[in-house]
Order: sequence, then C-alpha cells, then structure tokens
Amino acid sequence: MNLNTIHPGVISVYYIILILFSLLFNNIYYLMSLLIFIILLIYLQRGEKEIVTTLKYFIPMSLIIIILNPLFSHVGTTKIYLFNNLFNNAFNGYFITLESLVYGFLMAFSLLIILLLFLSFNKYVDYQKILYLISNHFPTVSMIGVMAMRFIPLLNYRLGEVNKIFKFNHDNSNEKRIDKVRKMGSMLAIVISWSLEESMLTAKSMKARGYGITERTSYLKYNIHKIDIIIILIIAITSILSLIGLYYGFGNIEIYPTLDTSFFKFPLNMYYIIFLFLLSPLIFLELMERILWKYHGKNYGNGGKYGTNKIQ
Amino acid sequence: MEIMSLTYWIIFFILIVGIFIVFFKMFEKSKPTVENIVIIAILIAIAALGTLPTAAIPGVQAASFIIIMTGIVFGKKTGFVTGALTPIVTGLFLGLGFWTVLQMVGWGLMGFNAGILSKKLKNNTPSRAVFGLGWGILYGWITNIGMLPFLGTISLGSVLGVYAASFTFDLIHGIVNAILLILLFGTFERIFLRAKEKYFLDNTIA
Repeated sequence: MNLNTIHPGVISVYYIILILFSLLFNNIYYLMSLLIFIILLIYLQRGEKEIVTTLKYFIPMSLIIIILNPLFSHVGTTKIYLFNNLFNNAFNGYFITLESLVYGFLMAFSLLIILLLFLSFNKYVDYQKILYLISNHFPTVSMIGVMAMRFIPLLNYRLGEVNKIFKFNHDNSNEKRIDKVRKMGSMLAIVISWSLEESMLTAKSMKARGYGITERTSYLKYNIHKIDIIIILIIAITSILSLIGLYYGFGNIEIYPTLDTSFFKFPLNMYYIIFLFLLSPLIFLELMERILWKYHGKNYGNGGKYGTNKIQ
Repeated sequence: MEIMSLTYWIIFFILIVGIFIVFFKMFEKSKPTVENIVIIAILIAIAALGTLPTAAIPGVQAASFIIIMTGIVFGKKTGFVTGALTPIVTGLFLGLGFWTVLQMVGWGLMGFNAGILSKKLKNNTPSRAVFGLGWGILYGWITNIGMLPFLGTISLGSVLGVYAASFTFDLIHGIVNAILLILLFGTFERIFLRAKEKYFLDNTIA
C-alpha cells in the first residue's frame, strides 16, 4: 500500500487523462473540483512552496489569454460596447462579446490546473523513475541523461572554484560590461576544457570496464501489483463513463454562440459524482498511508506522529 | 475547448513526440561510441547550467550559444541530440511540462541547423551574429506554440498578439546569442576542436 510501489507508467497515464479532461470539461464546478483536488494533492505531497513559483509563470500567461480572447474573437451574441459613452472617436462601436470573455477565463482556469498537474506529477515521478521508463527502449539516451545529471553539480562546483580564483587575481572595480562577458567566457572556457579532458578519461575508464558489452539494467524495478490493476480499472471505468456523460452534455456548458443560462447551476447528477470518483484514487491512497502510519507507526521507530522523535 | 480542436492539438503533440522517438531510435541504432556519449552529456550539462537557479554564477544564459557551437564544431547529428536532450535534463531538475516538448523542437532544430551551415558560420563573423539573433527569435516563436491551444479562435490577430507579448524576451535572447557568438567563438572553437581531433579522429562524427 505504498505510493512508491505504483508503476510510474500508470501514474503518467492518469495525469495525461486529467490534463485532457481539464481541457475538455468547461463546467465551472468540474474545473473547481479539479482545482481543489490538485491543491489538496500538492499539499499532501508537501509541495505548497512550489505553487508560488508556478503562479509566477501563470499570471502573465493568463493575462495574455484573458485579454487576447475577447479582442480577436467576435463570436458570440452578447455584445459589450467599449468606449461608447466617452466621446465620438474612431473606436465607437467597438465591442467585445461576453462569451469570448467567459471563454478566456475558463481557458486560463484550465491552464492553471494543467500547470499544477505538472507540478504534482513531478513530485510523484522523479528523475530516477523517468529514466527508468526511458531506459528500456533508449539505453544510450538514458545513459546520457544520467551522466548529464551528474555533470551539472560537478561543473557548478568547478565554476565556483574558478570564480574564486578570478576574484582573487583580478580587481573588478571598474570593468565594463563587455569585459564581464569576456571574463565569464574565459571562466567557462577553463571549466569546459578541464571537464572535457576529464570526461574523456571517464570514457576510457568506462570502456575498460566493459561498458556497452551487455544490455543495460536499471537499478529500479517495477512490477504490476494488485493495486496497479485496481487503479487502472477505476481510472478506465470512471473516465469512460465521464466521456459518455460529456457526449450527453453533462459537464460542458454551451458558450458560443450564446452563453447558457445554467452557467452557475450545480450539476447534481450521476456523471458528476463519477467524475469525483475519477479524482479520488491518489488522494485516497495518500490519506490511507497517513492513517496506517498513525495507527501502526508505533511498531516502527520511536512511535510519535509521522515518525518524528518527539518526546511524548 | 471543442473536441475537434482538442483532437487536432493532441495529434500535433503526438506527431512531434513520435518524430523525436524515431530520431532517438536512429541515434540508438547508430551505436554511438562511449566518447561520443560522454561528450554529449558534458555539453548538455554546460548548456543546462545557465538555466538552473542554483548555479554558482547566475545569469550564464549560454544554452543556445553552447548548442550552436556544438552544431558548428561537432556536426548536425550531435548538435540535434544535444539540443533535444537539454530541455529534458533541465526538466528533470526543474520539472517537466508540455513546454518541454516545444523547447526540444526549438533547440534541436537550432543545433541541427548550425550543423548544416557550419562551413559558412565558421569563417564569417557577421553571418554568425545574424544566425544567433535569428535563432534566438525563432526559438521564442516555436515555444510560443504552447500558448495557442488556450486561445479560443486561432486567428492571425490573436497569434500576433501572443507573439508580440513575448517579442522583447525573444529579442534579448537573440542579442545575447549574437554577442556571445561574436566574442567567444574563437575560444570555444579551439577547445571543442581540440577535443574533437584528439578523440574522434578514428571515428568521425557525421
């Protein structure tokens, strides 16, 4: 019953389905429940801090979407006239439509959900799991990925070292910007020539130890467990039923050409409840883990809440 | 979003991913040597370094410059692979998203194109500057495609609006590329050529 035992492929498929559904369903209540679900999940994954950085990207993008949609799409029947009562100018009669405004807002909403879904996905599927998924079919590419991941901190450390020496040797009180670029360039050049030289030794050593003679194996191993099959079944059944509901018009509001009057009506029907079931598995597992830990955690470690060594 | 337009976008993304899978399969089939693998990994690490917030010296936005240099010195194949894998590696650090795919397209084509035009770019400083500027802007245009699904109707006006909103960033990116390619080309060409001649003479990279 551990979330880490779920096959990363299953989690990837689940997130792809959620991303598609966040674009397909435009009922405000469906989107709201998706947003609440994803925020709750990120909170359970302890990723609340990253939400702020996501918002930094989201706010300018959403502004572009909300502004551009009504400016350029004049589909829709409810006209809102701008500049009409000001004074007679060239813009008289310029209108935007309420429908396109609403559409823009809903699209920005979908974008926010998608960005948060990616954030939560990256919490579950870390680089090791992604490389595991790749390594079966692309052993060389995954090898390059692993090595690059290892080289980045190394290069970073070396760049810091070279920077210290440069600071020691050159006084940089009155240098122009172009000198800065040159200095940065020569620093990078030193680090790169150093690292290239050393990486070739790495390559020789890899060759000597027989890299590439046999198939590559992965340090992680995932098998399909019972819990994976249960999750796959839940996701498959609920998503298919939700799509059938979408076909009959549940979860989708008519925006163009005229905004539906039932925009704020709560969709209390079977399909909405099924949609909520689609969102439940991961939250349920996360909560189950916490409950198990709380009630059976006494047998492990020092007992205390969530394994901290609190003196009771 | 209507089902039809969503389907088009899904097909579009699946096509791009499929093309990448085919190219990587070809790369696997060509059985690259260990030296080739290590050198690509190092180049990716250098390119990714500038985009990470934890970098020792922030503001080393040299990713495009390194990828163009790779294409010029090591040829189109290595340039493409380096460019296409750089966003994946940065994504493994900072988180993957739908923008990763478009960054792969942008940088992959950048490295590939630099490899094709390498003869011209080697001997001619102005052409290098123009190339860096042009690809900085073009890279921004390619990554902007990720915004278009969220615009209800894709008309010329709305597309131009998105592209105008990001144009200053793209221009800065292009100018930085051009400056780096003017100032630092000689140094880096020397370093890369040395590695190439020392380790790849027996197995030339196409």
